[in-house]
Amino acid sequence: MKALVLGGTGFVGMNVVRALVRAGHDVHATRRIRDNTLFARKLGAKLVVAELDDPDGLVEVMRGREVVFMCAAHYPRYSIDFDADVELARTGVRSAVDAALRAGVQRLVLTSSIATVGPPRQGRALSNETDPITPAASRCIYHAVKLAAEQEVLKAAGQGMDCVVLCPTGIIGELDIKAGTGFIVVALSHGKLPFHIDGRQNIIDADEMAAAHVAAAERGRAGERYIAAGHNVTIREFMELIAEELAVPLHSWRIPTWLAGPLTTLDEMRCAVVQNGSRPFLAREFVDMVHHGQWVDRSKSVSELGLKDPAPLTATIRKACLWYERHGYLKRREPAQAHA
Amino acid sequence: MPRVEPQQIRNEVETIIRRIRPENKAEIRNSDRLREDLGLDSLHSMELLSAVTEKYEVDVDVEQLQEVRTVGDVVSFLSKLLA
Repeated sequence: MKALVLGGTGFVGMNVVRALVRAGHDVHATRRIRDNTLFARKLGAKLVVAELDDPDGLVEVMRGREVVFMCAAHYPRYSIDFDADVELARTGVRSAVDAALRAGVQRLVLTSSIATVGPPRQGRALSNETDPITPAASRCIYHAVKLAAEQEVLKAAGQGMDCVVLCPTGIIGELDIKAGTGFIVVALSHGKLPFHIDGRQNIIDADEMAAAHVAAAERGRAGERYIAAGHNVTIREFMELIAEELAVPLHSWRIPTWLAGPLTTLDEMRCAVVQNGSRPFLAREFVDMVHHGQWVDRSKSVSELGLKDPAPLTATIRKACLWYERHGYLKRREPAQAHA
Repeated sequence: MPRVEPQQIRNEVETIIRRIRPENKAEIRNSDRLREDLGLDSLHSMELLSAVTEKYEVDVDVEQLQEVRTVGDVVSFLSKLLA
Protein backbone atom coordinates (compact mmCIF):
# COMPACT_ATOMS: atom_id res chain seq x y z
CA MET A 1 0.00 0.00 0.00
CA LYS A 2 0.97 3.62 -0.38
CA ALA A 3 0.83 4.78 3.21
CA LEU A 4 1.20 8.07 5.01
CA VAL A 5 1.87 8.05 8.74
CA LEU A 6 0.89 11.28 10.46
CA GLY A 7 3.10 11.75 13.47
CA GLY A 8 6.04 9.89 12.00
CA THR A 9 8.50 11.08 14.63
CA GLY A 10 6.50 9.90 17.64
CA PHE A 11 6.67 6.58 19.46
CA VAL A 12 3.58 5.04 17.87
CA GLY A 13 4.19 6.60 14.47
CA MET A 14 7.79 5.40 14.22
CA ASN A 15 6.86 1.86 15.16
CA VAL A 16 4.06 1.88 12.58
CA VAL A 17 6.46 3.26 9.95
CA ARG A 18 8.97 0.54 10.71
CA ALA A 19 6.35 -2.21 10.51
CA LEU A 20 5.05 -0.90 7.19
CA VAL A 21 8.51 -0.56 5.69
CA ARG A 22 9.47 -4.05 6.84
CA ALA A 23 6.32 -5.39 5.21
CA GLY A 24 7.39 -3.83 1.93
CA HIS A 25 4.95 -0.92 1.77
CA ASP A 26 5.69 2.48 0.25
CA VAL A 27 5.72 4.79 3.27
CA HIS A 28 5.72 8.52 3.74
CA ALA A 29 5.71 9.94 7.25
CA THR A 30 5.03 13.42 8.51
CA ARG A 31 7.17 15.46 10.82
CA ARG A 32 6.83 18.91 12.22
CA ILE A 33 9.57 21.26 11.17
CA ARG A 34 11.26 21.24 14.58
CA ASP A 35 10.79 17.59 15.47
CA ASN A 36 13.65 15.41 16.57
CA THR A 37 14.25 13.18 13.56
CA LEU A 38 17.36 11.39 14.80
CA PHE A 39 15.47 8.10 14.88
CA ALA A 40 12.73 8.72 12.33
CA ARG A 41 15.08 9.47 9.46
CA LYS A 42 16.60 5.98 9.71
CA LEU A 43 13.40 4.01 9.34
CA GLY A 44 13.13 3.93 5.57
CA ALA A 45 10.18 6.26 5.08
CA LYS A 46 10.22 9.54 3.21
CA LEU A 47 9.80 12.31 5.79
CA VAL A 48 7.54 15.17 4.78
CA VAL A 49 6.69 18.29 6.75
CA ALA A 50 3.07 18.74 7.80
CA GLU A 51 1.15 20.23 10.70
CA LEU A 52 -2.35 19.38 11.85
CA ASP A 53 -3.26 23.07 11.78
CA ASP A 54 -2.31 23.44 8.10
CA PRO A 55 -5.17 21.87 6.08
CA ASP A 56 -3.69 22.63 2.66
CA GLY A 57 -0.34 21.21 3.68
CA LEU A 58 -2.08 18.05 4.88
CA VAL A 59 -3.90 17.65 1.57
CA GLU A 60 -0.60 18.04 -0.24
CA VAL A 61 1.15 15.26 1.68
CA MET A 62 -1.90 12.97 1.52
CA ARG A 63 -2.33 13.22 -2.23
CA GLY A 64 -1.60 9.88 -3.89
CA ARG A 65 -1.55 8.02 -0.57
CA GLU A 66 -4.00 5.14 -0.22
CA VAL A 67 -4.00 4.76 3.55
CA VAL A 68 -3.40 7.42 6.17
CA PHE A 69 -2.45 6.38 9.68
CA MET A 70 -3.38 9.10 12.13
CA CYS A 71 -0.76 8.62 14.81
CA ALA A 72 -0.47 12.35 15.44
CA ALA A 73 -2.62 14.04 18.01
CA HIS A 74 -2.72 16.82 20.50
CA TYR A 75 -2.79 15.37 23.97
CA PRO A 76 -1.47 17.24 26.93
CA ARG A 77 0.16 15.58 29.92
CA TYR A 78 -1.99 17.83 32.03
CA SER A 79 -4.37 20.62 31.30
CA ILE A 80 -5.09 24.02 32.74
CA ASP A 81 -7.84 24.64 30.17
CA PHE A 82 -9.74 21.40 29.72
CA ASP A 83 -12.24 22.56 27.11
CA ALA A 84 -9.61 24.32 25.01
CA ASP A 85 -7.39 21.25 24.97
CA VAL A 86 -10.25 18.97 23.95
CA GLU A 87 -11.27 21.39 21.22
CA LEU A 88 -7.69 21.59 19.97
CA ALA A 89 -7.57 17.79 19.73
CA ARG A 90 -10.92 17.70 17.98
CA THR A 91 -9.89 20.40 15.52
CA GLY A 92 -6.67 18.60 14.65
CA VAL A 93 -8.47 15.37 13.85
CA ARG A 94 -11.18 17.15 11.89
CA SER A 95 -8.50 18.91 9.89
CA ALA A 96 -6.85 15.58 9.04
CA VAL A 97 -10.16 13.92 8.15
CA ASP A 98 -11.16 16.82 5.89
CA ALA A 99 -7.76 16.73 4.22
CA ALA A 100 -8.07 12.98 3.65
CA LEU A 101 -11.43 13.50 1.97
CA ARG A 102 -10.06 16.26 -0.24
CA ALA A 103 -6.99 14.23 -1.15
CA GLY A 104 -9.01 11.14 -2.05
CA VAL A 105 -7.45 8.89 0.58
CA GLN A 106 -9.07 5.45 0.54
CA ARG A 107 -8.79 4.57 4.22
CA LEU A 108 -7.99 6.26 7.52
CA VAL A 109 -6.66 4.36 10.53
CA LEU A 110 -6.91 6.33 13.75
CA THR A 111 -4.64 5.54 16.67
CA SER A 112 -7.00 6.00 19.58
CA SER A 113 -6.45 4.52 23.02
CA ILE A 114 -7.81 1.99 25.45
CA ALA A 115 -8.84 5.12 27.38
CA THR A 116 -11.97 5.15 25.23
CA VAL A 117 -13.03 1.71 26.47
CA GLY A 118 -14.89 1.53 29.76
CA PRO A 119 -15.37 -1.07 32.48
CA PRO A 120 -16.91 -4.44 31.55
CA ARG A 121 -20.69 -4.70 31.65
CA GLN A 122 -23.17 -7.56 31.69
CA GLY A 123 -21.18 -9.55 34.24
CA ARG A 124 -18.15 -9.92 31.99
CA ALA A 125 -14.67 -10.04 33.53
CA LEU A 126 -13.01 -8.31 30.59
CA SER A 127 -13.89 -5.11 28.77
CA ASN A 128 -14.47 -5.07 25.05
CA GLU A 129 -15.09 -2.50 22.33
CA THR A 130 -18.76 -2.14 23.26
CA ASP A 131 -18.11 -0.83 26.79
CA PRO A 132 -18.43 2.96 27.05
CA ILE A 133 -16.24 4.95 29.41
CA THR A 134 -17.68 6.28 32.64
CA PRO A 135 -18.63 9.93 33.14
CA ALA A 136 -15.80 10.19 35.67
CA ALA A 137 -13.25 8.95 33.13
CA SER A 138 -14.56 11.33 30.48
CA ARG A 139 -13.59 14.20 32.79
CA CYS A 140 -9.92 13.13 32.63
CA ILE A 141 -8.03 15.12 30.01
CA TYR A 142 -6.33 12.17 28.33
CA HIS A 143 -9.58 10.22 28.09
CA ALA A 144 -11.46 13.27 26.89
CA VAL A 145 -9.08 14.13 24.03
CA LYS A 146 -8.95 10.55 22.85
CA LEU A 147 -12.72 10.27 22.96
CA ALA A 148 -13.10 13.52 21.04
CA ALA A 149 -10.70 12.28 18.35
CA GLU A 150 -12.61 9.04 17.99
CA GLN A 151 -15.93 10.85 17.77
CA GLU A 152 -14.62 13.00 14.94
CA VAL A 153 -13.37 10.02 12.99
CA LEU A 154 -16.47 7.91 13.56
CA LYS A 155 -18.59 10.87 12.51
CA ALA A 156 -16.69 10.90 9.21
CA ALA A 157 -17.24 7.14 8.98
CA GLY A 158 -20.95 7.77 9.31
CA GLN A 159 -20.69 10.14 6.36
CA GLY A 160 -19.04 7.55 4.15
CA MET A 161 -15.34 7.95 4.89
CA ASP A 162 -13.61 4.59 5.27
CA CYS A 163 -12.18 4.76 8.80
CA VAL A 164 -10.91 2.18 11.25
CA VAL A 165 -10.15 2.98 14.88
CA LEU A 166 -7.51 1.15 16.86
CA CYS A 167 -7.38 1.31 20.65
CA PRO A 168 -3.93 0.27 21.90
CA THR A 169 -3.34 -0.44 25.57
CA GLY A 170 -0.14 0.60 27.41
CA ILE A 171 2.68 0.34 24.88
CA ILE A 172 6.17 -0.84 25.77
CA GLY A 173 9.03 -1.18 23.32
CA GLU A 174 11.65 0.39 21.14
CA LEU A 175 11.74 3.97 19.81
CA ASP A 176 10.03 5.30 22.94
CA ILE A 177 11.90 8.58 22.87
CA LYS A 178 9.71 10.33 25.42
CA ALA A 179 9.30 7.27 27.64
CA GLY A 180 5.49 7.09 27.69
CA THR A 181 4.25 4.02 29.53
CA GLY A 182 7.94 3.13 29.57
CA PHE A 183 8.58 5.88 32.09
CA ILE A 184 7.97 3.14 34.66
CA VAL A 185 11.00 1.27 33.32
CA VAL A 186 13.22 4.35 33.29
CA ALA A 187 12.07 5.61 36.69
CA LEU A 188 12.50 2.23 38.35
CA SER A 189 16.00 1.87 36.98
CA HIS A 190 16.97 5.20 38.55
CA GLY A 191 15.15 4.52 41.82
CA LYS A 192 12.80 7.42 41.10
CA LEU A 193 9.44 5.80 41.52
CA PRO A 194 8.89 6.13 45.25
CA PHE A 195 5.11 6.07 44.83
CA HIS A 196 2.71 4.30 42.56
CA ILE A 197 -0.94 3.52 42.38
CA ASP A 198 -2.00 0.00 41.62
CA GLY A 199 -4.71 -1.15 39.30
CA ARG A 200 -5.57 -3.18 36.26
CA GLN A 201 -3.78 -2.47 33.01
CA ASN A 202 -3.03 -4.18 29.77
CA ILE A 203 0.42 -3.93 28.20
CA ILE A 204 1.16 -4.43 24.50
CA ASP A 205 4.52 -4.83 22.79
CA ALA A 206 5.26 -1.89 20.46
CA ASP A 207 5.95 -4.27 17.57
CA GLU A 208 2.59 -5.96 18.09
CA MET A 209 0.86 -2.58 18.36
CA ALA A 210 2.41 -1.62 15.03
CA ALA A 211 1.42 -4.93 13.44
CA ALA A 212 -2.13 -4.28 14.62
CA HIS A 213 -2.10 -0.98 12.73
CA VAL A 214 -1.03 -2.70 9.52
CA ALA A 215 -3.69 -5.37 10.06
CA ALA A 216 -6.33 -2.71 10.72
CA ALA A 217 -5.48 -1.08 7.40
CA GLU A 218 -5.58 -4.37 5.54
CA ARG A 219 -8.41 -6.24 7.24
CA GLY A 220 -10.33 -3.90 9.53
CA ARG A 221 -14.00 -3.29 8.80
CA ALA A 222 -14.87 0.31 8.04
CA GLY A 223 -16.36 2.20 10.96
CA GLU A 224 -15.20 -0.38 13.52
CA ARG A 225 -13.10 -0.02 16.65
CA TYR A 226 -10.53 -2.63 17.61
CA ILE A 227 -8.68 -3.10 20.87
CA ALA A 228 -4.94 -3.71 20.33
CA ALA A 229 -3.91 -5.47 23.51
CA GLY A 230 -1.27 -7.75 24.97
CA HIS A 231 -1.21 -8.91 28.57
CA ASN A 232 -3.66 -8.16 31.37
CA VAL A 233 -1.63 -7.37 34.49
CA THR A 234 -1.69 -5.22 37.58
CA ILE A 235 0.69 -2.30 37.74
CA ARG A 236 2.39 -3.95 40.70
CA GLU A 237 2.95 -7.17 38.73
CA PHE A 238 4.30 -5.14 35.82
CA MET A 239 6.69 -3.28 38.11
CA GLU A 240 7.88 -6.53 39.66
CA LEU A 241 8.73 -7.94 36.21
CA ILE A 242 10.62 -4.77 35.30
CA ALA A 243 12.55 -4.74 38.58
CA GLU A 244 13.44 -8.37 38.03
CA GLU A 245 14.70 -7.67 34.51
CA LEU A 246 16.72 -4.67 35.70
CA ALA A 247 17.90 -6.51 38.82
CA VAL A 248 16.95 -3.53 40.98
CA PRO A 249 15.08 -3.54 44.27
CA LEU A 250 11.45 -2.54 44.03
CA HIS A 251 11.13 0.25 46.58
CA SER A 252 7.88 1.95 45.70
CA TRP A 253 4.99 2.65 48.01
CA ARG A 254 1.50 2.03 46.84
CA ILE A 255 -0.60 5.09 47.52
CA PRO A 256 -4.37 5.14 47.45
CA THR A 257 -6.05 6.56 44.37
CA TRP A 258 -7.82 9.29 46.40
CA LEU A 259 -4.40 10.63 47.40
CA ALA A 260 -2.86 10.36 43.93
CA GLY A 261 -5.22 12.96 42.45
CA PRO A 262 -4.30 15.81 44.82
CA LEU A 263 -0.61 14.84 44.72
CA THR A 264 -0.67 15.01 40.94
CA THR A 265 -2.27 18.44 41.06
CA LEU A 266 0.44 19.70 43.42
CA ASP A 267 3.10 18.24 41.16
CA GLU A 268 1.62 19.94 38.11
CA MET A 269 1.57 23.24 39.99
CA ARG A 270 5.25 22.77 40.79
CA CYS A 271 6.00 22.24 37.08
CA ALA A 272 3.92 25.24 36.10
CA VAL A 273 5.74 27.44 38.63
CA VAL A 274 9.31 26.42 37.80
CA GLN A 275 8.59 26.66 34.05
CA ASN A 276 11.72 24.84 32.99
CA GLY A 277 9.98 22.09 31.10
CA SER A 278 10.07 19.88 34.16
CA ARG A 279 7.97 16.79 33.80
CA PRO A 280 5.41 15.96 36.50
CA PHE A 281 6.80 13.36 38.85
CA LEU A 282 3.44 11.65 39.06
CA ALA A 283 2.02 11.80 35.55
CA ARG A 284 -1.63 12.75 35.36
CA GLU A 285 -2.36 10.45 32.45
CA PHE A 286 -0.76 7.54 34.30
CA VAL A 287 -2.86 8.14 37.39
CA ASP A 288 -6.00 8.53 35.31
CA MET A 289 -5.25 5.50 33.16
CA VAL A 290 -4.65 3.28 36.17
CA HIS A 291 -7.60 4.68 38.09
CA HIS A 292 -9.95 3.99 35.19
CA GLY A 293 -8.05 1.02 33.80
CA GLN A 294 -9.39 -2.44 33.20
CA TRP A 295 -8.46 -5.77 31.77
CA VAL A 296 -9.53 -6.22 28.20
CA ASP A 297 -10.72 -8.83 25.75
CA ARG A 298 -8.76 -8.92 22.50
CA SER A 299 -10.91 -11.54 20.77
CA LYS A 300 -12.45 -9.18 18.20
CA SER A 301 -9.00 -8.12 17.00
CA VAL A 302 -7.84 -11.73 16.95
CA SER A 303 -10.79 -12.94 14.90
CA GLU A 304 -11.15 -9.97 12.53
CA LEU A 305 -7.63 -8.56 12.24
CA GLY A 306 -5.83 -11.87 12.70
CA LEU A 307 -3.67 -10.68 15.59
CA LYS A 308 -1.39 -13.37 16.95
CA ASP A 309 -0.78 -14.37 20.55
CA PRO A 310 1.35 -11.77 22.31
CA ALA A 311 5.01 -12.41 23.05
CA PRO A 312 5.75 -13.14 26.72
CA LEU A 313 5.65 -9.91 28.70
CA THR A 314 9.15 -10.59 30.02
CA ALA A 315 10.46 -10.60 26.43
CA THR A 316 8.74 -7.27 25.71
CA ILE A 317 10.15 -5.72 28.87
CA ARG A 318 13.62 -7.02 28.01
CA LYS A 319 13.47 -5.55 24.52
CA ALA A 320 12.39 -2.17 25.88
CA CYS A 321 15.10 -2.22 28.56
CA LEU A 322 17.79 -2.97 25.99
CA TRP A 323 16.62 -0.08 23.82
CA TYR A 324 16.52 2.36 26.73
CA GLU A 325 19.93 1.16 27.83
CA ARG A 326 21.48 1.48 24.38
CA HIS A 327 20.27 5.07 24.17
CA GLY A 328 21.34 6.23 27.57
CA TYR A 329 18.01 6.20 29.41
CA LEU A 330 19.22 3.45 31.75
CA LYS A 331 22.56 2.91 33.37
CA ARG A 332 24.68 0.43 31.46
CA ARG A 333 24.37 -3.03 32.90
CA GLU A 334 26.91 -5.81 32.67
CA PRO A 335 26.29 -7.91 29.54
CA ALA A 336 25.21 -10.93 31.60
CA GLN A 337 22.87 -8.72 33.59
CA ALA A 338 21.41 -7.19 30.44
CA HIS A 339 20.78 -10.64 28.92
CA ALA A 340 22.25 -9.30 25.67
CA MET B 1 29.45 18.82 1.36
CA PRO B 2 32.07 21.60 1.60
CA ARG B 3 34.05 21.89 4.80
CA VAL B 4 32.22 23.89 7.44
CA GLU B 5 34.17 26.13 9.79
CA PRO B 6 33.83 25.33 13.49
CA GLN B 7 32.78 28.92 14.17
CA GLN B 8 29.88 28.55 11.77
CA ILE B 9 28.80 25.37 13.52
CA ARG B 10 29.22 27.12 16.85
CA ASN B 11 26.90 29.93 15.74
CA GLU B 12 24.32 27.45 14.51
CA VAL B 13 24.44 25.50 17.76
CA GLU B 14 23.95 28.68 19.76
CA THR B 15 21.00 29.74 17.61
CA ILE B 16 19.29 26.39 18.13
CA ILE B 17 19.94 26.40 21.88
CA ARG B 18 18.35 29.85 22.12
CA ARG B 19 15.39 28.61 20.11
CA ILE B 20 14.92 25.63 22.42
CA ARG B 21 15.44 27.63 25.62
CA PRO B 22 14.46 31.20 24.74
CA GLU B 23 14.38 32.22 28.39
CA ASN B 24 18.13 31.66 28.59
CA LYS B 25 19.53 35.13 27.92
CA ALA B 26 23.03 34.61 29.33
CA GLU B 27 26.15 34.25 27.23
CA ILE B 28 26.66 30.70 26.00
CA ARG B 29 30.20 29.38 26.43
CA ASN B 30 31.84 26.32 24.95
CA SER B 31 32.39 24.94 28.43
CA ASP B 32 28.68 25.15 29.30
CA ARG B 33 27.21 21.75 30.01
CA LEU B 34 24.00 21.16 28.11
CA ARG B 35 22.07 19.81 31.06
CA GLU B 36 23.53 21.40 34.16
CA ASP B 37 24.36 24.86 32.81
CA LEU B 38 21.90 25.37 29.99
CA GLY B 39 18.98 23.39 31.36
CA LEU B 40 18.61 21.16 28.30
CA ASP B 41 17.14 17.83 29.30
CA SER B 42 17.86 14.73 27.26
CA LEU B 43 14.95 15.41 24.89
CA HIS B 44 16.17 18.99 24.34
CA SER B 45 19.67 17.70 23.66
CA MET B 46 18.33 15.28 21.07
CA GLU B 47 16.34 18.12 19.51
CA LEU B 48 19.51 20.21 19.31
CA LEU B 49 21.52 17.40 17.74
CA SER B 50 18.70 16.50 15.38
CA ALA B 51 18.43 20.09 14.17
CA VAL B 52 22.12 20.64 13.72
CA THR B 53 22.76 17.31 11.96
CA GLU B 54 19.85 18.01 9.63
CA LYS B 55 21.21 21.45 8.90
CA TYR B 56 24.54 19.99 7.78
CA GLU B 57 23.01 16.83 6.30
CA VAL B 58 25.05 14.42 8.34
CA ASP B 59 23.81 11.15 9.74
CA VAL B 60 24.74 9.98 13.21
CA ASP B 61 24.11 7.01 15.44
CA VAL B 62 22.23 8.21 18.46
CA GLU B 63 24.47 6.02 20.61
CA GLN B 64 27.44 8.21 19.62
CA LEU B 65 25.77 11.27 21.05
CA GLN B 66 25.87 10.05 24.63
CA GLU B 67 29.42 11.36 24.99
CA VAL B 68 28.35 14.87 23.99
CA ARG B 69 28.03 16.86 27.21
CA THR B 70 29.03 20.48 26.52
CA VAL B 71 28.50 23.06 23.80
CA GLY B 72 32.14 22.54 22.81
CA ASP B 73 31.54 18.77 22.55
CA VAL B 74 28.69 19.37 20.10
CA VAL B 75 30.84 21.66 17.97
CA SER B 76 33.86 19.36 17.91
CA PHE B 77 31.69 16.29 17.25
CA LEU B 78 30.19 17.97 14.18
CA SER B 79 33.47 19.53 13.09
CA LYS B 80 35.03 16.08 12.92
CA LEU B 81 32.11 14.74 10.91
CA LEU B 82 32.30 17.65 8.49
CA ALA B 83 36.09 17.88 8.22
